[in-house]
Amino acid sequence: MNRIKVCSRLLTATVAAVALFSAATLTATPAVEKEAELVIYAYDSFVAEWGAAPLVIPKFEDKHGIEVQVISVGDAGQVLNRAILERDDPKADIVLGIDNNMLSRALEEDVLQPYRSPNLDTIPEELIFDSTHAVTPFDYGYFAFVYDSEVLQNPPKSLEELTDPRFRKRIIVQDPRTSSPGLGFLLWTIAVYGEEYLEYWKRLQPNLLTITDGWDTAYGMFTSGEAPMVLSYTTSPAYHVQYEQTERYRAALFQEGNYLQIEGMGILKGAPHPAAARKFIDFILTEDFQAEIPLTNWMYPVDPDTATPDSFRFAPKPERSLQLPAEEIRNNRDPWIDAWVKQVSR
Amino acid sequence: MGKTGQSLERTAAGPRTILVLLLAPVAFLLLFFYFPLGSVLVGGLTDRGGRFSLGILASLLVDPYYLRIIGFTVGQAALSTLLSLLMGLPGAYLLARYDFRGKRLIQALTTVPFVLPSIIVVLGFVRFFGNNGILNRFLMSLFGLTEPPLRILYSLQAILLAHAFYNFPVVVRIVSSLWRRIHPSTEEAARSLGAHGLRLFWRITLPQILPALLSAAALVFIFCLLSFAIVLVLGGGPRYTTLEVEVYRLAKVSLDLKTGSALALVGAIISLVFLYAYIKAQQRSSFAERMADDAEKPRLGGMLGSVRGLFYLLYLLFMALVILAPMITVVAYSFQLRSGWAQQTISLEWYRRILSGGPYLRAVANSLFFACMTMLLSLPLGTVLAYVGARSRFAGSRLLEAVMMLPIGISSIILGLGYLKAYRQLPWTIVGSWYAIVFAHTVIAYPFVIRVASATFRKIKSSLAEAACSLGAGPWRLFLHLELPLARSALITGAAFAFGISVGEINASLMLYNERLITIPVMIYRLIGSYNFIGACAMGSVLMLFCFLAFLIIDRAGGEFG
Amino acid sequence: MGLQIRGIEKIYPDFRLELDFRVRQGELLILLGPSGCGKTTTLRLIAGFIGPDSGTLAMDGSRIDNLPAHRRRIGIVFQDYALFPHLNVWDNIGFGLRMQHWSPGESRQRIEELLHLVSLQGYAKRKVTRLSGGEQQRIALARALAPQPRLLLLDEPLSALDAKLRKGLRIEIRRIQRELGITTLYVTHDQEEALVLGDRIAVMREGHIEQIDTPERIYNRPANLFVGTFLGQANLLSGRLVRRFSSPDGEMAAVQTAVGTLQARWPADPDSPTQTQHFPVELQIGREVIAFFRPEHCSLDRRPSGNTRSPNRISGRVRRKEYLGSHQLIEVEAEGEHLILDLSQQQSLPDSGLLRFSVDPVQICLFPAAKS
Repeated sequence: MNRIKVCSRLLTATVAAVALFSAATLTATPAVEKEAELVIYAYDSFVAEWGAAPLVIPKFEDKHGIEVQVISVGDAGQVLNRAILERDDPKADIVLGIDNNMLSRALEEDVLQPYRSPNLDTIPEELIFDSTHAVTPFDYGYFAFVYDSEVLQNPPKSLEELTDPRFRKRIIVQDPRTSSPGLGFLLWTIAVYGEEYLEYWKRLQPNLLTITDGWDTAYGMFTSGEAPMVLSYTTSPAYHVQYEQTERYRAALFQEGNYLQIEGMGILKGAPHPAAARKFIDFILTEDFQAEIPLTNWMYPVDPDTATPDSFRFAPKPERSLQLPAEEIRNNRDPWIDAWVKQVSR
Repeated sequence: MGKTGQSLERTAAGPRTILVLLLAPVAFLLLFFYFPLGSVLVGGLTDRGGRFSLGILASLLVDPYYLRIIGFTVGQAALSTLLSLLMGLPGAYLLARYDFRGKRLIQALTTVPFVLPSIIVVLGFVRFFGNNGILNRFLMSLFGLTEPPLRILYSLQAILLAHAFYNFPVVVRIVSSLWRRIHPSTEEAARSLGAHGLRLFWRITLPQILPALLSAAALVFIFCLLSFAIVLVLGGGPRYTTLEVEVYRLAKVSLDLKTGSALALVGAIISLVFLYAYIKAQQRSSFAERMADDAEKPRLGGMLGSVRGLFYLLYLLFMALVILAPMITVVAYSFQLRSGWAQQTISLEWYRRILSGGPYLRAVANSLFFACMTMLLSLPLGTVLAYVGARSRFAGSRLLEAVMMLPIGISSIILGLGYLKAYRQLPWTIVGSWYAIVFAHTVIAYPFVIRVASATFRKIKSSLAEAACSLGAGPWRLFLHLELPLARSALITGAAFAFGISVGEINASLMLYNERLITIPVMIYRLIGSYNFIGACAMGSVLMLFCFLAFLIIDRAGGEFG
Repeated sequence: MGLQIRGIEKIYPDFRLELDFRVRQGELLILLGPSGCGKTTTLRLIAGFIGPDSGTLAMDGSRIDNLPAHRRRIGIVFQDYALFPHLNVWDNIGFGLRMQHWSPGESRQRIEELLHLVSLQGYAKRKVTRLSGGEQQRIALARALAPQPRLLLLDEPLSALDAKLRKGLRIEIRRIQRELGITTLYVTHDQEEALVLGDRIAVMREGHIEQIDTPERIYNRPANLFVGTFLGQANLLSGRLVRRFSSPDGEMAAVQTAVGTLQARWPADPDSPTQTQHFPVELQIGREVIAFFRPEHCSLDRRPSGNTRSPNRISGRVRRKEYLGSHQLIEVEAEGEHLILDLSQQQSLPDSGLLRFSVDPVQICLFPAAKS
């Protein structure tokens, strides 16, 4: 039947075309990749074209002549997960993105090997959040409520003020189970209110428009104007100043203090290239790396001598910086979160 | 009818041929679906020591927290299904009783949201229906209000509405297909006897379209059961958590795959039950369709003069608008340069960036490539399985069909995780290769091919097969020369779905990609993750364009037979 | 040689099919019966869509029950035509030729031949969905005949058409069948079709054949009450067999009924080889019987009462008259029995309610009073 013939010919043609196409695209990249001499797992925004990786990695490679492969595995939490998943047979040398709130878990799972870089001497003591040096800090930031100054002329000045009825359904926060700012905020309320934190959340709840799973959704809603306040970082406004030439978004510093987040990276136990990994750890504390952090990662460099760009005027540092000790987080994290879930699910 | 129903047992392929036919598909599924799935789910069925144990499942089922989640999941799915049915019935009626220009266009358009990655769907929803969305701003400026009047998001209503909006085209499609073929004479007879309006519908029409209604309901229920992004974002927080969302949290955060696997298992079992119900209903529905003919329908245009016609037109416009509005919003936003509503400059900046090469173009090329490959793989896979399912008569064959469609009931997150876990022990790892992504997409897409293909195979009148057989067509040639050509339009639809699903797949792709293999949805995810919402919308618009074109072109190439 | 069906049995939970008969070479055998009697199942068995539980099928001497359906070379015409909607007329007819690997040249010739045969030349490129019912049926016939099958099966091919079309088309079918001389089995529930078309008729009931015979014999010499009442109209009188005697017309019986003593033919008639599985039961004097005769076997009695020359004289009251143009039906009540007479319109009827008529004894059949 003619139709069958036509159809089968069409099919063969399509298959041939696709095969050719695939051959073309996939052989455009070298068939045999040069064996990477250093593998890093990082979170997505680090690896992206507009992230830090495209700027800092070539510098490292040129300096040390080591071929580096940076692989994105999702967000910071997933970076740790991947490390845990591969604990018996690590494919990577370094995991990037373990912060002070995740430290307890990382240490508990025992997937890192300690290394104290000599360059740590230049870093302020309070930023070295891991005394065992399994994790080396490279940047830090403060959680803060970012607000739209064109909508909100009278921003809150404290955690307590957040519960004011005038903010009813005007705040977006994230879920501590799936988001590091979310977790940070929960710990923030515990740092301030201690045992009474659940009471605080009860007061806060009517003001929450929604609790999103991740920062990206929350911030997207914020910039869409769904609510005039979102949980983010003190550095967020700087982005808008730098790239959108607008100063409408501001970060609120609270009287009780803002919670500190320090990000670090560590060498995996059983890493295939430990020597190269150590070199990289040394590298991240140098000017070459630290200078790129502000405008790509939107955090403060741990190196106090590294200059921050002009737009960081709008990324204020709080008077008081809050932090819960890692040991306390480790012991109570799960019960805290469970109680929180129960509270907000009502 | 028992005696006539047996005729096909002699025209169809014998058990040996069936076994041979099934060899390749089953092998593929075992390797690339059941094996990775098992390696993850096994966590829910073993205790800490690694021994088989139902302990975790048991503890799950008595924990009030999880019970609440399961209850909510089923409850919201049921409500959403009901809502979808109610919304879809008028549309099904319209499509059944009238023909109108642009029907194909509307069908193609309304199918697109179904395959879009959840993040785009949600983004569009927020931008349109949100407190500061287009709808509210329009109403506020129209009526001079200061506060947004429609606060529907971040609540249970939002979840139900979103579900209904995205699933009611399924209802329309399935129900109208059967309704078209119901002879109006039964209704006319009833009318002459005094029945009209709701009574007429309830007593005469409803029983006749019931198989299609049940079939659509079962399918929509499963989709709503496993709905993920809509619940996650539009629900407003932990209060409204479904199985999928909880699995996502557990899988993403803690790698605590014991509980997560157990939950996924519960979800899979519930889905399986409803898949089975769906297949049974579809069998009935196809049988009913088989018995009747599809006559020419009057054109809707002729109705426009009357009040009724106006009502229908409004309904059509309203539905199309509500489904399209979020998508259009996303597209509109992509033509801007700055974030926020204050500064809105129209610009093609992002499209320039996309077209100028680099990672964006690579993502586009990759997505197209993966989608074509997925299409090529899932079509034969789904067709063979559908054929075997539709033609087999042994006891439990319906159950087997339901199992074959299982990927619909499995979270793609679990699948992605499975791919990561399962192949680690093997000497060669497929993760990081392009075919891992293609296989994952194929596994996710092929049940949709089965869905359309098997419905069509069942609709083929047995007398046609018998006629062909008596003329000398053995089972293989029967398939090639009769059933395949008759199923052509369905297969084309299946291909379109496979394409669309692959292009829009995010969860598994996120686990399996690398820089070389990045796809459009992953790129969108990245762009969102770094403040680049305009860029995300631009890529999302490109994705929508592909899906829409694919549906339109391929839909035009198909046709309806009898 | 034709089609031979030997000892075929098919057992269902609520139904049992038992067949053993022959379709002669070139004959058109009608399978007639009420719905549910198994005629379509029989066709399916022969076609090979169902397998028998026991028995054999042979065509022209060679067994076909061991062949799969697609190798039996049997043409089938279905009630719903079953034309392939995705093919046009030409390709529909040519489907079987393609399946059986005819060369393109031969195929073309054959298809044109068939189009001519069913008088639809020029329809080659048409879409089958646009054809009328009658045209579709003719194409279905052409398609079935194209690959030169040795047996043609028709499953109620005309029941979906209107009466006028049916009459015209059945003549066509008959003509074509005669022209080609193909062995044909034709299933219908329409008695008129059966009588007009069949060389022989097989009357079926509940899974077995009651009688296979020519139309005349089926009509005039039904093997049992079922056959007799299934075709045409019948008058039934219950009575008792009182006497057997000889007469110039053959062995006769005297039956005592409510309307009087009737003379009837003694049932065992050597020159009617009825091929049924139920042989006439031996009748005995004193047995309860049913006297069976057709309405047209009655004639009005012109002579005044008292003359006892013509036997089987019955007098009764006219209850109803139906004038049908070429003849008239009269319902008469006699001694509580209701009888129907079929008289030509020429016979004028007495105005008084009383009517005298007689029944031709040779045309009266006797059956045992059935227990079923």
